[in-house]
Amino acid sequence: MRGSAVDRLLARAFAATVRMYPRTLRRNAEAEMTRAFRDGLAARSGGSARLSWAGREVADAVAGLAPAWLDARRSTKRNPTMRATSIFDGLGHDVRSAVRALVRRPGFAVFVALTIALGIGANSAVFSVLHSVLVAPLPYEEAGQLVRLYRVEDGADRGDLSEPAFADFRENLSSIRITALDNYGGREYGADVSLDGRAERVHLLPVSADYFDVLGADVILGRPFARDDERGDAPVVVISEGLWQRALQSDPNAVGRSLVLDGVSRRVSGVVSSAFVDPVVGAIDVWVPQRVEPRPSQWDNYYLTVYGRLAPGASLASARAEVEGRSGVQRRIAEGRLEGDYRGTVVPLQDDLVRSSEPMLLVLMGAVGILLLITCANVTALVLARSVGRGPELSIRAALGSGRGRLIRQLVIESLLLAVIGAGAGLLAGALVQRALVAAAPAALPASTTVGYGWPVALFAAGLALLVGLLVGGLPAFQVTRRALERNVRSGVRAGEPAGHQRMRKTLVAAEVALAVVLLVGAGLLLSSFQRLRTRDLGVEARNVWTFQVNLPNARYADPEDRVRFHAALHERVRAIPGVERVGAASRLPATGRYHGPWAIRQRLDDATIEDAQNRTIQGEWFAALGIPLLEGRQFGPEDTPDAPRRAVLSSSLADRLFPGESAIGRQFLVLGQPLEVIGVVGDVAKEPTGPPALVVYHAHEQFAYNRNWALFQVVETAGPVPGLVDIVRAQLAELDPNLVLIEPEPLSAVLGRQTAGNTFVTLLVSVFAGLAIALAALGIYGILSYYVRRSRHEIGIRMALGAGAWDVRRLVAWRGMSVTAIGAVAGTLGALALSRVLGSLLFEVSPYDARVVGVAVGLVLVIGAAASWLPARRATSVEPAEAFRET
Amino acid sequence: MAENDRRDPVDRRPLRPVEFQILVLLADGAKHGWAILQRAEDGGRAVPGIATLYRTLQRLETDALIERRRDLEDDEDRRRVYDLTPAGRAAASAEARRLDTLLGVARSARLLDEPDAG
Repeated sequence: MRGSAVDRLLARAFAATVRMYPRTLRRNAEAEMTRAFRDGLAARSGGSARLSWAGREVADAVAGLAPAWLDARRSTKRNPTMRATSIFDGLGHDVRSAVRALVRRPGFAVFVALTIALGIGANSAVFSVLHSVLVAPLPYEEAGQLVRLYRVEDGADRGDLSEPAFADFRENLSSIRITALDNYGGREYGADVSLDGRAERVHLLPVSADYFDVLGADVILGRPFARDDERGDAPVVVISEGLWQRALQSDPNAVGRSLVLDGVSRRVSGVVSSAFVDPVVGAIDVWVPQRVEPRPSQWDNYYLTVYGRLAPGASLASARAEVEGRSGVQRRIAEGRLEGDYRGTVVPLQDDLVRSSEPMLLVLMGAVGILLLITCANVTALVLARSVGRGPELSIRAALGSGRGRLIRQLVIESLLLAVIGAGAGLLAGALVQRALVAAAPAALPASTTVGYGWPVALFAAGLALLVGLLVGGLPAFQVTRRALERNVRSGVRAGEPAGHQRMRKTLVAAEVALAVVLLVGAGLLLSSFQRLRTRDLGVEARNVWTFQVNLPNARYADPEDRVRFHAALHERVRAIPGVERVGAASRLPATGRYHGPWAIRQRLDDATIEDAQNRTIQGEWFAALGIPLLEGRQFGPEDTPDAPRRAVLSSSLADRLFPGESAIGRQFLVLGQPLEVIGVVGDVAKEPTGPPALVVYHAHEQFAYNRNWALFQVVETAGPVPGLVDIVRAQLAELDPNLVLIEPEPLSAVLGRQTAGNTFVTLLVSVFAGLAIALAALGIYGILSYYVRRSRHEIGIRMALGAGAWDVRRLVAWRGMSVTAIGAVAGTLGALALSRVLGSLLFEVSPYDARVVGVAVGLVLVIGAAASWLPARRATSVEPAEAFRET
Repeated sequence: MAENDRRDPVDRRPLRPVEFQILVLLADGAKHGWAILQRAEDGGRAVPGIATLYRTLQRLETDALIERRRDLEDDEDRRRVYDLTPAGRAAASAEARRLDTLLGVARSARLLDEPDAG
C-alpha cells in the first residue's frame, strides 16, 4: 500500500513538472508523457528500483524545463503564428531585463536588498522563536493530548495539588491519566552522584509512577517506577542516557547496578533516552520515586505538579468536567481541610508552558512586524522615486505594444527579484540573530523548547518576500504605468514628478515616521519600566555578596544537630578568609519567588489564617550579610537552642498584619498550629522582582533543623572583590568534608538579574528595533527631501534670482520635511496610545500612557526629522540661479 | 533580420547525441514515443528520460527532421507515431558519416587498437 502512495506522489510530481512545459509541447505530448511515466513505473518491480527510476525521470523533467522554453522561443521567433500563450510566456525575458535594470543601478539594488534583508531577517529570527514556542508541538508523543491539572481556589488560579488529592484523582478519573512530581516550587533539585571517587552534581526530579508513560518518554533500558515504589525511600532510580554513559559506561546490563546518590546506594531500574526533557523543569539526570501517601492530614499540603494525558476519545471539556465533579467529592471526604471553593481544573500543557513567554513573544513579533512595514514604506518610496526617472523608457515600451499589465509585471518582477535576494540574505542573517536571541533568552523561554530554524521559517521568509515584492513594486507600478500610458511617447526631457507621486511619497514617509514613533514609545515604556525594575529596592544589599549551596546527604547528616554544627563550622571557616565580612545562610534567596505553598499562620487558633506568608530558616549572619535592618527586638542568638521555646523573627509587613498598631515583640502566634514567640522585627525584602514585599517568618535553623534537611543558600559578604574567593571557599569546604560539592557559586546580583531576564530580553530587542526604525525613518525623510531639492532646482533658482535669501530657501525646504515629520508624529502618537496597552503585562510601575515617554519619543523623532531635513535644505541654497536656468 | 532558418539540414549544426540516437531508432520505421524508449533500453544504450525524449521529439519536429502522425493501427488510442522525414533521414546519415570519418581518424591514430596483452 505504501508503494502505491509513493507512486501516486511521484506521478503527481512528474505531471506537475510537465504542466510547466511550453504549451506547444504540452498539446502534443502531455498525455503521452504522463502515461509513459505511469507505464514505466508499473513495468518496474522492487521499491528501490522504482524509486530511483522515478526520481531520475522527475529530475530529467525538471532539468528539461529551461531548454524546453528556449526551444519554444526559438521556434516562435521563426514562426510567429505558433506563439505560445502560457502565463509564463515572456517571463524569462522580463526576468532578464529586470536583472539588467538592476545591474545598471547596483547601488540602488544593493541598498534596497539590504533594507529588505534587515526587515525579513529580523522577522525570520523572531518568528523562528515564536513558532518553536507557541506553534510547534511539544517534543512529546501526541503532545496535543497532554494537560496539566491544577487546583483553583480563592487566591490561587493555578495551584499545586496535595498527595491525597492526587491519589484520589488518580483512582477515580477515567478521562485522564495523571502523574505527579515535586518540582520544589520551581527551584532546581539536585543531588551528588559519586563517580569513581569524585562527586558530580546532577539534576534530580522526584516523580510518581506512570510519569514516563504519561509523557511518552523513550525508556531505552529496564522499566520506570511502579506504584509500589512511591514510598519516598524506595532505593531505585531512573537515569538519563547521558548519566548512563558517564557513570555506568553505557553498560547494557546497567539495570540492577547501583549508583551512590547523596551517599545512599540506589538501584538503577531504568534508563531514559537523552532526547527526553521534563516539560517544566527541563533536562534531568536522575529521577527518584515521588512519595504518594494519602494521609488525611495532608489534604491541604499543596506541592505536587500534576501532568496528565487525555484518554482516547476524551476531550478537554469532558476531562475538566470530571475533575471538577471529583473535587466536590474531595471537599466532602477531606472533612473540612479544603476551602469551600476548592476545585481542580485541566489546562492544555502547551498553553500552560507558554503562558509566561507568550505576551513577550507577541510583543516582539509586533515590533519586528512594524519594522518590516517601515522597511517596506522606505523601499516603496525609493522605488517610486526611481521609477519616475524611468518614465520615458516605460512610455517607449508602451508605444511598442506592451500592455499596462505587461509593464506592471516588469516592474513587479524587479521588486520581487530584490525581495527574494533580500529575503535570502535576511534568512542567513536571521540564523545568526536567532542564535543570539536564543543565547540571550534562556530564562525567558519554556524549558522543553528547542528553537529550530527550518522549513517553517524558510516558508515564512518566502511568504514575506512575495508580500514585500508585490507591495513595494505594485504600488509604484500602478502609479507609474498609468502616467506612462497617458503621456505615451510625448517625451518630456524634464518631466516633473506628478502630484500623485508626491502625495504618495509623503504619505509613505509620514507613515514611516508614525510607525517609528509607535516603536519608540514601546521601547521607551519598556526601558523606563526596566529602569524601575533594576533600581527597585529589593530590601537587600547585593553588592559584594556571593552565594552558593552545599547539599548535606541524608545518609551522613541524618542528625539535625550535625547539620547545624556543619553550617556553624563552615561559616566560621569562611569568615576567617581575609576580606570576608559576614557569612549566613537561609532556605531561599530573597526575590526569587516562593518556596512553599501556604502554611497556616495566625495569631490565635480562631483567627483567619494568613495564606501568603513564607517561612525561611536561617543561620549565621543572614540579616547583616544582606543588609536587612533589624527594626525592633533582637536577632537569633546562642540562647535560641533546640530546647528553648520556639522563637521567630518577623518581617515588618507581617508584624503589621499579625499585630496591627502594636509592638510584636514578646507576642505569640501560630505556624501550622505550633506557637512561636516573636523576638525581633526586620525590614521587608521582596518575594518576586515585582509585586508586594514578602511576609516572612524567620526561623532559627538551630531550632528548626529537625523539620527537614534544609538545603540552605549560603551568602558571603566581602569588603570588596576577593580574588579566588570561590576556590578558597571550596578548599575550606573540602577540609571540612571532602565529599561535599560547592554548588552554583555566583554573585547574588547575577541571581537577582536572572529573575528579570525576560524583561531584559524584550527591552533590549525592542530598543534595537526602535533604533533601526528611527534610522530608517530618518533615511526616508532625507531621501524625500533630497529628491525634492533635485527636482526643484529650477524653482529655487528663480526664487533666488528674484531675491529670496538663503534662509528663505532653507526654511522652505526644511518646512516640507518637518511638515511630513509632524503629521507622522501625530499619527504615531495616536497609534502608540492605541497599541501600548498590549505592553501592559510587561510593564512594571509604568503606565502604558506615560506622558514623559511619549513626549521624549515624539521629541526625538522631531529632532531627527529636523536633522534629516537640514542637509537637503543646505544643499538647496547651493543652487546657482544661472545654472538652474540653463537646465531648462 | 534575414535569418535563413531553413538551411539544408545536412550542413546545420551537428546533431546532439540524443537527437542522433532517436533518428537512428526511427530509421527502421515509425514508432510511438514509448516504443522508442523500449528500443533504446533493449539496445542497452543510454536511455533518455521521458521528458528529454518528448522535448527532443518536439525539437526534431520543429526542425522538420521527423513528423508526427496518427497511428493507423490504433486509432481508438490517441497515440501518435513519429517517423523520419527525408530531411531527417539525410541528417541522420550525414551525422553517421561525420562520426564514421571521426572514427577513421581515431583508428588511424591507433585509438581503437586492442590494448597489448603483455
